[in-house]
Amino acid sequence: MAKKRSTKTRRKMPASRLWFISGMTTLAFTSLILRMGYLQVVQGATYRTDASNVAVVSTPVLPPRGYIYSSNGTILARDQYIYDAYLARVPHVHQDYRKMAELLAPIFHTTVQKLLQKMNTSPLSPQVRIAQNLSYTAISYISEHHHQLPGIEIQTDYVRQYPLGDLAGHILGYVGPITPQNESYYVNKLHYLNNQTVGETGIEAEYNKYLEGKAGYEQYLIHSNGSVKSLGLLPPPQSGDNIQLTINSAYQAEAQKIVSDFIQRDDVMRYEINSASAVVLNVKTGAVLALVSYPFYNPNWFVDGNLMKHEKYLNQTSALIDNAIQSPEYPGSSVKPANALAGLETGTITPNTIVDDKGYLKIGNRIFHNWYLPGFGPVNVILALEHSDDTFFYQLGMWFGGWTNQHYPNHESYTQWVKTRFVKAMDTIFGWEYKFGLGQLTGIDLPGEVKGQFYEEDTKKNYEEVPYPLLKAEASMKKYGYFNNWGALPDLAFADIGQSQEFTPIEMAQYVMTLADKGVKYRPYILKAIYPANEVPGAPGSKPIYTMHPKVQARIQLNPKDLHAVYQGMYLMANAPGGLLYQGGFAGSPYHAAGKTGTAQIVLNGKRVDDSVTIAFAPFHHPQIAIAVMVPGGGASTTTASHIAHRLFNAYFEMHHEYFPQSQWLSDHFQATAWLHSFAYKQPEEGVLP
Amino acid sequence: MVLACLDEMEGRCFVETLRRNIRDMDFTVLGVLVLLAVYSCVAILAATYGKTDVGLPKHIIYRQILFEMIGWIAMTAITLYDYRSLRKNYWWIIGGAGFLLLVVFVMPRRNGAHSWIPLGPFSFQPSEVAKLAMIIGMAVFMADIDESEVPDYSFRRVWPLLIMFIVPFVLTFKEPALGQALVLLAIFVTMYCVFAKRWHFVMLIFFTIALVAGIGVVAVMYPQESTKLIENVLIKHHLLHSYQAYRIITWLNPQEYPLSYGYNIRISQIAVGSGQVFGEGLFNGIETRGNWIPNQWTDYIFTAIAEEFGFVGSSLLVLLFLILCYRLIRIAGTSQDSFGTYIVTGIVALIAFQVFENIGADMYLSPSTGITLPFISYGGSSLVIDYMGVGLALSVALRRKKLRFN
Repeated sequence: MAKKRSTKTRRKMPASRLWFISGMTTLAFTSLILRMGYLQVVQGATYRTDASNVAVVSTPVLPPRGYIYSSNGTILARDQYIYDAYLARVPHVHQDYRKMAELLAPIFHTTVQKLLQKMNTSPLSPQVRIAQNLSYTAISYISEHHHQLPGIEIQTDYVRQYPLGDLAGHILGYVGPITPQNESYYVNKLHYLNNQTVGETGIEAEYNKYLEGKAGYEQYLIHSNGSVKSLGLLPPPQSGDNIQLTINSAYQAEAQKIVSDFIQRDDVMRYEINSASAVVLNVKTGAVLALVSYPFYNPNWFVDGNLMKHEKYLNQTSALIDNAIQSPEYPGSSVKPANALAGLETGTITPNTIVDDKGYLKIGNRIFHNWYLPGFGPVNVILALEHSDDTFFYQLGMWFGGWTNQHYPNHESYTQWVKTRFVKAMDTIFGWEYKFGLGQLTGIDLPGEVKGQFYEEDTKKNYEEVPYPLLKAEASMKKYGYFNNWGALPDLAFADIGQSQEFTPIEMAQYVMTLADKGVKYRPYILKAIYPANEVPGAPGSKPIYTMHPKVQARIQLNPKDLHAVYQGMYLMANAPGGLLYQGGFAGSPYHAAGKTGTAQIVLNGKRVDDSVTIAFAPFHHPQIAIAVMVPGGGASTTTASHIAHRLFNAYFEMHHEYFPQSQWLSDHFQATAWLHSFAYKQPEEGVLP
Repeated sequence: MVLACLDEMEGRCFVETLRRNIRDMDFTVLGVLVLLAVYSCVAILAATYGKTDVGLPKHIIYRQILFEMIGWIAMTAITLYDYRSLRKNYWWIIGGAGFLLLVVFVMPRRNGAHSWIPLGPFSFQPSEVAKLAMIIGMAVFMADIDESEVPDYSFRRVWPLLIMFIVPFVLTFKEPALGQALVLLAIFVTMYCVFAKRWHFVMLIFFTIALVAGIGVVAVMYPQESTKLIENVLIKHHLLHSYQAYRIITWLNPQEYPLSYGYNIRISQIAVGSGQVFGEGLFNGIETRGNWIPNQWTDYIFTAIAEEFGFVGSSLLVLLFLILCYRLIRIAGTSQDSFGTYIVTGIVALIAFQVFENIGADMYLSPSTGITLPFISYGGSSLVIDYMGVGLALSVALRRKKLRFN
C-alpha cells in the first residue's frame, strides 16, 4: 500500500504552488509593514497631533418650543434664549474642580460647596450643567479666564416665558421637567430625552406633541488641552410648531379684569368670594373666546425657579384649579329653560298651562316656598321663566312623576313608585339637561376636565344626598322597567329648580350656546390652528398645517313653538322690568340679550351661602356669543353673576364696534401696558389672601 | 527504520520515535508562539488598563493566561496525535462543527449576532471550529483525489469541495459574522490554489486578480458611485446588513460618516499613526488610555500595540507572523503526504488572512469586518483554535519525510 501511495502521489508535491503562497503572504505582510512605516514614521507626527483631538462627544440639543398665540396675534407663551455654563469632562486634561469652583462660585452667586456638588453630579456623563441663565458679567469672565477653566463651556438654552403673566394662565398651563409619573409615557413611549421639558397642564400639555419639537445633537471634537470645537449639528433639532388659540387676548384681558375688579368691589367684598369663573363661547362655532378662572395664577412661577415664594398663595387659594372646567357647582334656576323644554317636549305642559303660584307648594307634609314669598299668582311657562318662578317648576317636577293632588298615581305605594315613575321623571329632567351637555364632559381641548353630577336624597340614609346614576337608571328602565333606588318624593321638585345637580361653568356655557343654536350642540374648543415652527399666525404667507373645524356633537330635536316659549321667557328676563337679568344690570343695554339666572344654596367653608349663576346669549335675534358665569358664594344671581355677564357682553360689543356709540368703542388690539398695570395682572402677585 | 521499530515493544517504539523526532520538532515555531503569547498579554494589559467598560470581562488578563495554557495543552496533545487518523475520523469533526453552527442560531444574540454559545463563565464561537473543520474536510477530499488511481480534477469530481465551503460560509454569514465568512473564503481559495490543475490554477489567479483589481480601481476612481451602488443594491436587497455595508462605504470614502460609521476607522488609524517610531510607551497611549477605541482588547488589539510600541513594536509583530507562516509553509512542503500539505496550507491561509485583514483594517488598508488577530486578541475560542491549528501543523512536521541517519 505504502509503496503504491508513494508512486501514485502525482506531481512532485506542489512546491511551485507553495512558493506562490509564500509569495502572496510576503507581499501581504510587506504591504502591512510599508503601510505602518507610512503611517507611523512618515505621517506619525501629524497623527500624534491628531491623537489629542480625540473625543467626538455628541450632546443633545433641545429644540425651542413652539410659541402660543392668541387669535389676534398676541404672544402668550414663548421660548427665551439664555446662556448656561457647562462642565465638559475632558480625558487626559487635569481638571481641578475645586480650583475652578473657587473661581466661579462668586461669579455664579453661589458657594464653592454647592458648585462642587453640581460639578460632581453624574460623573459618567460627558458634560454637566453647572449654572443657568448666566449674566453678561459671568459670560465675559468665563471667556476671559478660559485657560484657567479647562472644560467650562457656555451654551445656549431655552426657558419658557409667559410674557403676560396670569393672562389666560389656566388655559396655557405651564411646562416642567419630565417627572417619574409621566416618564414612562414621554421617555419610554415617545422616546423623549430625560432632560426635555414637557407641558404639565393646560394647552402646554394638551398640545405638547406639536409644541415640543424634536431634539437634535451637536457633535463636538474635544481636544486634550480642553478646548472644544463644534463639528455641527447632526441631526439638527427641529423646533416645535406654533399654536394659535381661539382666545382673543384683548377680550380675555378684559374678561379677567371684569371678573377680578367686580369681586374686589367694596360692596361685593363682604361676600368673601373664593372663586369665580366665566366662559364666553362663539355661538356659531363653539370656539372659546374667553375663559376666566378666578383666582388667577402666573405660569411663570413654574419656570423661573421662584415657585417657593408663591406656594402659600397657591395652597390657600387653590388657584391652580381651573374652576371653569374643574369645579362643578349647583346651577340653581339656570337649568329651568332645559327643564321647561323637557316639560313642553314630553307634553307634560303646553305653553298655555297655568300654575297658580300662591308662594309655595305643599308636597307630602312639607312646604316648599317660592323665592318670592308672596307668589306670582297664575303663571304660564313664559312668565315662570321671566320671574324664575320656583312654584311652577316644583309643580312641573311633580307632574313628571305623576304626583297630583298629593297622591301617588294609581294609588301606588312609595316603594313601587320610586322604582318606576320616579325614575322616569328624574330621567326626563336630568336626561334633558344631559342632552344639552350638562353632567357630561364637553370634550373641550384642555386636560383635566371634570364632569358634573346628578343627585337624589336617599330615604334609607336619612335623606343624605347621593349621586343619581342617570345613564345606569336609563339603561335599567329600558331593560327591566324599573331601577332600584331610594329617592325622596321632593327630589323631583329640587331637580327641577337646579338644587339636585352640579355642573361646571364650561358645561353651562355649552348648554346656553346649544339653546341659542336651537338645539345644535357644538363642542367647545380652544385650538384655532397649528403653524409650522417658522411661521407666525396671521403673517402674510403663513399657512397653518392644521385648522380646527367646529364639531357638532348632537342636534336636539325641538318643537319651534316650545322653543319660542322658552326664548320668550329668557328674553323677558333680560328685557322686561320684572326680569331678574333686567334688574341685575341688563336694563338699558343697547342690545337685546336672553338668559337665565340661578341662585343655588350651597355650603362654603361651613357657611350657608349662595351660588350666583347667570347664563345668557346675545344678540337675541342673531346670537353671536353665549356666556356662563358662576360665582360660588357670590350672593344672589343678581348681585354678582348677572353683572359680570352683562359687562362681558358690553365689552364684547364695544370691541366689535356694535350697538355702542363710537365714543365707547374699545380697541380689539391688545393693550399690553394697560394690562400690565391692571389689578387683574397684579392680583396673583399681590395676592387676595385675607 | 520504521520496520525495525515495528519489531520492538510498542511503548518503547513510541518513546524512541519521540526521542528521535524531538530533534525534528520545529522550535522556531514554538519560539515565535511564545513571543506572540507575551505580545498578547502585554497588549491586553495595555488595552484594558484602568478601564471600567461594561463589556470588559473581569480579570481579563488571568482569563487570557488560562486560555493560553489551554491552548498550549491542546497544541501539544494534537502534535502527538497522528494527523493521519483524521482521514478516518473526519466525519465526526465535520458533523460536530455543522451541528454547532446550527445550534448557535437558537442562542441569544450578543452584539446583534448569533455567534456565541454560552458555557458557564465562558462562551464559545462555533465559527472558529468551523474553520478548522472545513480545512480538515477539504484536505481529506483533496488528498483522496490526489491518491486515486486516475486523479480527476474536473468539476464533475470536485464539486463536493464547493459544498464543504458553501454550507459553513452561508451559515456563518447569516449569524451574521461577515469577517469569519471571509476567512472561510480565503482558506478555500488558498487550498484550491494548491490543489488545482495548472490550467485551473492560472484561471483562478487570473480571475481573482482581475476581480480584486477591478473592484479596487472602480472603488478608488468612483467612490461616490460605489457608495451609491452599495446603498441602493446591497443594503436595499438585504444582501448585507447595513452596518456591514457602511463599513465598506466608509472604507471607500472615510469622509462619508466621520462621526458614526467612520469613527472606528478614523480613530484606529490615528492611534496607529500616533505611535510613531518607538511608540508612546506602555500605558501611555493617548487613545488607548483614554478609551477612545471601542472593543480594543478584541478586534482592535493591534491599535494598542501600534500606539504604545510604535513602528518598531508593530513591525516586529508582523515579522513574527511572517516567520510563523514561512515555517508552516515549509512544513507543508515537507509533509510525507498531500493530506498534510493541504491541512497546513489551510492553516497558513487562516492565520495569514486574519493577520492581514485585522491589521490592515486598523490602518485603512482593508475594510473592517470584525475578526480577531490570531494569538493576540483576547478570546478563548479563537486562541485555542489557532493553537490547535498549529498543533496539527506540528503533527505533520513530526511525521514529515526525512532522511534519518541514526
